[in-house]
Formats: sequence, C-alpha cells, structure tokens
Amino acid sequence: MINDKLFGIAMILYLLATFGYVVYLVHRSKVTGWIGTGLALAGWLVNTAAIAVRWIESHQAGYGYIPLSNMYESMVFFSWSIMLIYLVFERVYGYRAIGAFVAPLGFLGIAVVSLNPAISAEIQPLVPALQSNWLTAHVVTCFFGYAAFAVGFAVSIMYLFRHRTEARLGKDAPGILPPAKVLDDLAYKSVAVGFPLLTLGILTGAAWANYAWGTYWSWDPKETWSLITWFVYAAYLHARFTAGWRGVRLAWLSVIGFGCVIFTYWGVNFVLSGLHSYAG
Amino acid sequence: MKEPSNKGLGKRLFEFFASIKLSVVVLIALAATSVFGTVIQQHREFAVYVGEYGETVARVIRILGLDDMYHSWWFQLLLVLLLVNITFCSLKRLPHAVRLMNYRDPVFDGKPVAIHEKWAKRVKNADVATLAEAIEGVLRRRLRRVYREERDGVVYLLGTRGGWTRMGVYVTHFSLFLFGIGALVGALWGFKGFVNIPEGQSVRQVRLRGGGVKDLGFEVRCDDFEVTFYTDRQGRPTGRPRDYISDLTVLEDGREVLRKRIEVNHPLIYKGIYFYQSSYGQAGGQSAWLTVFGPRRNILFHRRQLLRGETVDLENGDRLALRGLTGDFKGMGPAVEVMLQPAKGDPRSIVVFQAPEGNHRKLGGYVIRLDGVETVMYTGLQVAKDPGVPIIWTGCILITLGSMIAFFLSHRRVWARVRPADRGGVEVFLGGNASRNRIAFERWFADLCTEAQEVFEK
Repeated sequence: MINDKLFGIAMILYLLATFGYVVYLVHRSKVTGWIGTGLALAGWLVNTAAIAVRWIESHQAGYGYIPLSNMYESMVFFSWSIMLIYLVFERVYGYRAIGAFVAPLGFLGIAVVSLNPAISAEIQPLVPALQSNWLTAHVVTCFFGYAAFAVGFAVSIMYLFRHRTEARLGKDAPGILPPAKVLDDLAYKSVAVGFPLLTLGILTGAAWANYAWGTYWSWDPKETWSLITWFVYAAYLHARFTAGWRGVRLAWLSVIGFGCVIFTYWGVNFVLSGLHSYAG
Repeated sequence: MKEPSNKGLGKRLFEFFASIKLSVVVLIALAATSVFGTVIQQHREFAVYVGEYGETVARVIRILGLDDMYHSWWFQLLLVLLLVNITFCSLKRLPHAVRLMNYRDPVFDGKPVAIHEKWAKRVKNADVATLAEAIEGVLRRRLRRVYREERDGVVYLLGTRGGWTRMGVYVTHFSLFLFGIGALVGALWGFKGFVNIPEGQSVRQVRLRGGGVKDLGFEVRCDDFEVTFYTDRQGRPTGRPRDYISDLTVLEDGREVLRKRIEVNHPLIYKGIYFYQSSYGQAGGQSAWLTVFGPRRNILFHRRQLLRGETVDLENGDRLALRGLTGDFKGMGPAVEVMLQPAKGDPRSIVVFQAPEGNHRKLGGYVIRLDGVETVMYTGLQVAKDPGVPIIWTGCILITLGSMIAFFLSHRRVWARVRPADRGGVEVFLGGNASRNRIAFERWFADLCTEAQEVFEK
C-alpha cells in the first residue's frame, strides 16, 4: 500500500514544520517563518494525497469506501483537519507563531497511529453499520470541530505561558509569543468555529442513529461524552459573551474542553464501551 | 409591609433564574454529572452493582438513580433548570434586543449609543446638503436601511444592516426547548420494541423494551433473510459480513400492502413505525426453495420457500405438500420429498434432488425443481415509533441556523453627522458599532471611510 508511506512522509513534514516554527519563534526572521509555513503546507498536501490514495486503494481492494471508518483513518483525518484549520487561521489572522504549538499536534495525530503496533493501518471492509452516507457527514463535521478545538487548545496553552510573562514583567514584556490579548481572542475564535461544527457533528450523528437504530439519542458513552464536550464549550462561550470572562479562567476552560474532546475520541474507545465500539 | 417584601422576593427569584452565572453553573454541573452515567454501567441488576462496588455503594447508586442516571429525577431537574434559566434570560434580554434591532434614531448626540469606531473629517468648499447626500449614498450602498433627520442645519444619518441577526441567539435557545418537547412527545406517544420473525412467518405484536407487548394493528412477514459476505480479489467469500438483508411484507387483514427489502441503515417505514435490521439467528429446522412449472410449461411459482409440512395450491384444485427435506441425502446433496394431492385421484410422492441429474422431476402434469435447502433463519428487528422526531429535526435546523447567525453574522450600524464647521467648510463625522466580531467590523469600517473620502474628493 502506498497510502501509509505517504502518511509517513506527511508526518515527517509536520515534524519539520514544527522545528521551522520553533526556529521562527526564536529568530523572527521572515525566511524561517516561510519555511515553517511551507513545510506545514507541503505536509498537508501530502496528507491530502495520502487520503485520496487510500480511497483509491480501498476501491482496488474491492471494498470502495471513503477512508473515515476506523481509528487509523480518523486520526490521519484529524491531523489533516487540524492543519487545514490552522493554515486557514494563519492566512486570515497572520499569526505564524501559533504554528509552533499546532504543527506538533498534526505530527502527533499521525505518529500515534502509525507507530502504534496495536492499531492496524490495513484497509478493511466496512461493517454493515457504517455503510451509510451519513458516515461522511458525521465524521467530517465532528473532526473539523475537534480540529478547531485543537487549535484553540494550542493557543490557550500559549496564552497561559504568555500570561505568566506579562504578569511578571508587564504588558510590553519582551517575549517570543504574541501578546496575551491577541492569544485570548484567537482562542475564542477557534472555539466559535468549533462549536457550531461540533453541534452539527452531534446532530448528523443523531440523524444517522435515528435512521439506523431507531433512536436519535440513547445516552451511550460516546454520545454522552460529545454532549459533555458540548456543555463545556457552551459554558466557555456564555462565560465569555455574557458573563464577561477573559484570560486565565477561560484559557483553562478551553484546555478542559479539549481534554473532553480527546476523551470523547480516545477515552471512550479504550476505557468505556458502547455502540461506537467499532470506530473513532 | 408584606407587599414590597414579596415583590423583592419575586424580583430576586427572577434575577436568580435569569443570571448567566446560573447558566454556566448548570452547564458545568450537567457536564460533570453526565460522566457518572458513562462510567457506571446503566440498566443493570442490583446484584451487578453489589458485585462491582459492594453493598453500600450499590445502595447509594440505586437511591440516586445512578443505574439509570439520565432518567433520574435530579438529572432531569438539571435539564429543566437549564430550560427555565434560558426562558428567564430570554425574557430579560429579548425586549432590549428587539429595541436594538428596531433602533432607527439617527441623532446620537447625548444618547447612550456605544460608538466603537470613529472617523471625522473637515471638508472645505462644500455645503452640508451635498455632502449629506453623498454620505447617504455610501451608507445605502454598504448597509440596508438608512434613516435621516435634520436638526438646526445639521444632518444626522443612520445606516443599519442585519438587525435581525440579533435574534440568532434566541432562535438557538428556542431550539433547545424543541428538543425538550420532542423528547417528551416521544416518551409519551412513541414506543421502542423488538421482534424476531422466522423466515416464512409473520407477527402482529412486538415486545417492548420496558416490558409488555404492543399490537401493531397489521402483520409483518419475513419472506427471506440473508447475510452477504465480502469477497476477495479471486471472488471467494472472506467471512466478513457485507450486509444483513431481510425481505419483509406488510399485511393488512391478510392482504399484502407493502413489500420492502431492508438492510442495515435502510429500514422499512409503515404508518410511522420503523423496522430496523438489527440481529439474526437460526430459527431451527430447514426450508426448501422450489420452482414449479404447470402443465403448459407456465411458471406457477419461482424460488418459493417452503417449510416442512407446508402445503401450497397449484392449478385446478391440485395441491403440493413438502413432506420431508434434508441438506444431504446419502451423500447425494440436498433433497426433498414432495407429495401431489390432486383434486381427483390418489396422492403421489416423489424425491427431488438439487444435484443436476435429478434437478427436474415430473409429477402429474407438473415439473418440480429444487433450488436449494437451507437452515431457516429468523430476522431480528428493532421496531420504533417516535412522533417527536419531526420536532427534534425542527430543533436541529433551528440550532444550526441560529448558532451560525449568532456566531458569524452581526448587526452593523453607522451614524453620520454632517454640520457646518466652526472654521468654515463642513465637518463630517462617522461612527459605528457591530454586535459581534469587532475586528472584522474595524476593517469594514475603515473601508467605508475610504469610500467616503473618495466621494468627497470628487
């Protein structure tokens, strides 16, 4: 199979992009910034190609499905989504420093499944329960949401570092990270993008469940944890919009929210059991 | 004495239920308590909890309803509290939001209007009327509605766009109510059950999840159940199931009204009741698939499934009975024994093999072919009716639209004041605000000012 080799190349490019962005953080030269972005973009393009090749290879194997059906496929798609959302953010808001904290997440996504012998990279036929067009809509919306939250998480972590510096040395303290106010705003923007996507992800899941199982909601652990995540980010948005929270408390809420995302995604599969036992 | 304190209490209660702090606390409480239901197994026997956690903890679990947590009184109370909180918040904020939505006063001097972006310019050799008209043109191009007022030789303008987007957040919150109502309607007038139907048989009742049976008011027959398997590149079956398929027929008073082949992800829907493919198994016994041709080589039935002892009508009052069947008759493969019961005369039996040489057998004027013998399967169906689903879908659409509007669209307002300047010429002031996304508005406002500047230069 060619696809897993391509995923390997994308993984290495994400790792190199991480180094590029870190060097940019320290040096602040235009060239290092461009190198970081170039590597991240190259990684993302290879990642895209790898998904396309896997799709084609699934057809050649006689199964023919969009590769979003198991832990391996969802993780490489997670990396793809994180890098896509990040690159769009970089383009729109022009803060390249965030790459140093996001690109490693893109790298980890592929690394965790490629280097883990317990997770099979093999193309396997789709079990009957997953043979539905709802699968694509459900997985894509969920993972775009997860990816936006991942970017929000990375930015919140940067905020917490930067905040400590500013608390000690004042607002104009020298440092390699963007000002705390900017990070606070970017973290909020990521969550504001992720929240409607997660909502759509839950709704498409409910629609599919209703069509396939006859109940739109059955409180299985995956559903419940996605709702827990939804509650946490809803609290985040209300705390910010209406209660006027800013800064450290909100950054921690974003970190907790992403913890919930990871548990919804991984924890439920490995710690708990339920209807979603076949997939990511 | 009593009245004011009552009023005070009412007001305090309103403030409590309408507070955003309560929303955040309830959301976090819902998130935190929901965890229990995913860690503690749900809907198990008391003994299971005793075995896992010990007698004392098991009692606590039962008293707090943690074995069916999401339907426990306190969890439902939290959900209701969230809805109550949303209602009070909306009651508190909606009037103000409607006022802002419909705000059309161009005169901003001395008014409590929050202007976030400002721009001012003195234009020489110009008069108020011409410049005001030019600005009005710019506002009209960039915003939907423009209001104008003239006072003491000063022209005030207000351009506004997207006032309706202030309703996005209320639409979002209203949709949560629809989820509550939909769930209630489903719980009151819907049901969930399951039924196993052996091939060739029909059922009229299903067993309910919570116990008891439900009469459907019609019959459902399973004509055939089949598992298909993935094949490898050489076309050999791999043993990995590709699909589970049931051929179902709906019967009203014994009359066929609907036939449908259902598979996983593709249910049968009849009279609002959904039949989902969910399991299968061996019903015991075997069945034979027969094709019978009449005396004129006409097909009487094609690949029809018969059970042992079953009798079917042929032509002119003749009947055919399946007396016996086997998957392997003395090493010669599947075989059946069928008996013709003619309208007149004595019954006659023959054995028909599936093997090619015995494939067609004549019996009376008929030709009988054995297509196969297989184990009788049953199909396991989930049966559900939920009249609340349309309400839930309405809620889904509203929450999607509402949250998109609330997050990504904003109400933009730009005020303009055109007045004679103290040192001659005309002074133009532009000021604006947006309900959301101030940074994007900042850019948009700067753009608008550039356009205004260009208009002045002309």
